Amino acid sequence: MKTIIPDAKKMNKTLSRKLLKIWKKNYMAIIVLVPVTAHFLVFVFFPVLFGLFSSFTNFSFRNFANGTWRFVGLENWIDVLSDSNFWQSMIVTLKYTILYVPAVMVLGLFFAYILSRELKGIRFFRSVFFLPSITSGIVLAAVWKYLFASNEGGVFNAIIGRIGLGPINFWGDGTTVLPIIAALGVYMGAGSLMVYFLGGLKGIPTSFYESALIDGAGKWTIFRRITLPLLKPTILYALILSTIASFQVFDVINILTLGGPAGESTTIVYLIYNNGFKLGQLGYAAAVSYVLFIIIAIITFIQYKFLGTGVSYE
Amino acid sequence: MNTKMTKLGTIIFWSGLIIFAGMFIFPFIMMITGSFSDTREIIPRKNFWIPEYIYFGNYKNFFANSKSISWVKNSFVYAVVPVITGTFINTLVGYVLAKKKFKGRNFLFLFFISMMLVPGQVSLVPNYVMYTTVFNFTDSYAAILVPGLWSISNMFLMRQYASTLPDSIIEAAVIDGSGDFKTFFKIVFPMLKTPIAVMGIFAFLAYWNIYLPVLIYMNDPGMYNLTVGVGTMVQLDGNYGMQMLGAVVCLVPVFILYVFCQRYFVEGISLSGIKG
Repeated sequence: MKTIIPDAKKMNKTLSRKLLKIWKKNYMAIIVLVPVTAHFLVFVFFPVLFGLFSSFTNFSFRNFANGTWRFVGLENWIDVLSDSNFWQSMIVTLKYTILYVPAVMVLGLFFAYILSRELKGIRFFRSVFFLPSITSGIVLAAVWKYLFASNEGGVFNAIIGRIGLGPINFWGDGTTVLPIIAALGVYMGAGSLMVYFLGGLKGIPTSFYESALIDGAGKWTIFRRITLPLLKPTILYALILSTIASFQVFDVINILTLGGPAGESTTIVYLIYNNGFKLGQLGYAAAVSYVLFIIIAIITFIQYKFLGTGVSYE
Repeated sequence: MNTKMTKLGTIIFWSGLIIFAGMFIFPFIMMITGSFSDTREIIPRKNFWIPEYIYFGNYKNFFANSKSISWVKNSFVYAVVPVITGTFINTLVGYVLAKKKFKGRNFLFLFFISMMLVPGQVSLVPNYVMYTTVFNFTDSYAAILVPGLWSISNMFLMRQYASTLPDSIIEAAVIDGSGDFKTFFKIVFPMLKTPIAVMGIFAFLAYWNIYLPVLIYMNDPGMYNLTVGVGTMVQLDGNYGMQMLGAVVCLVPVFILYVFCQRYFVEGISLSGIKG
């Protein structure tokens, strides 16, 4: 008589055999990915969620520790969007971006263009322009502080002092602070953009240039009509990354100006740091950081839409 | 583009380049000469950046001070450990996600990648709360090393590279009886030597230069790395010579790497996009 009730022992054997088969096939993936995914969930994913969560609370270091915090709904968000400090930091960040991005892109492209010929000794110059890109911002900021020291002893002021121009109070004057910080950014960024554009330039087939030259086109026309359009994808990528980077300036501001004078160099990230760490308003800082996230996403999207039409070599 | 240059054009080209290059090198020269200048006076004299004589006192003070020595030590710890752990973990994960087929593989990969879009500032405060209250990482190497075991962007790079490896070689090894991990270490890992080297160099640089995490998790100045240490020196507006010296010391390993590993830098930028 055939048994209708399944044999439990047989089922266990088949189940364990199946598991063994899965293990044999995937043990490497399991051993590698399980701990890594756990690490990811704890150290990458959870903080992002927790940040969103805390933007709806009134967390401070004290009330978090003793559990007396409470939900405040959209209060932080409303506070952020109606806070003049926040809007000023937005304006400062935008001013910085407008100063930094065009300058670094133009300089990077300029260096790449003039250094694109394989002449003898050109590699040395490429190295020189690239060196600041791998140097720590702190190290260069240390020099910058004295390069543009506000008294007549500073390097810049000493030089213009020779021709009789008065010393410029770089660090104390609200209108000069951002430009010199942006100049530091450009100094550090131009080199890596240069290398990137060099790669892009290499990808343009020389046949294009040759036929244009035969047609009698001048250098500037060639650059405008052939080089630039073909570099569009490279330029777009560089633009997006540079903009995102410019929104995240912090290190040099923290040691050079501390966001001063009078908040003239307080960028958004500095605001997050200041409010979150110095003043302990964790919920508020979290809300600001998410607003920053949204803004970066929007600007990236706009840039992509505006410039993202594909180019192919036809 | 190789159009011919006129004689005048050549002169303008090279002299312009030399001038530009000079301007770019100048801050580094300032650093070096500054480190040898004696600036212990309270009121800085005019043109303080041109040293009157070579002064070794700054070097003596820096290397005799246990605090600044610990900055150097810490910088190496913070920079070298993540490179070692990252080399193994990023490559392993990248390889598994590229070559091993299993259910949910694409989902997991996209899940990891999606977090690359979120700016670091979003997790800044939550991480701080977590690390200081739950994990107690304050003033501990763990604050930097534990999160730094691997990175999503480097794992992404490795995955891209691993997916270009020919399946035939891997399959041949499996047929020969080589287990998964053995195959990985004997065959896959050596094939990925160059991207690993590039990744390692950039990771070293990034961790050598870190500032904010060290700043917020280390209250004891003895736990600072050179970057934060020099940063505090600059903020306190003290001795110009010492600050320049700090900058020079911070720069030396970077510069050495730069001189000897030039080609990795160039490859790295063009492969993974712009740094910073």
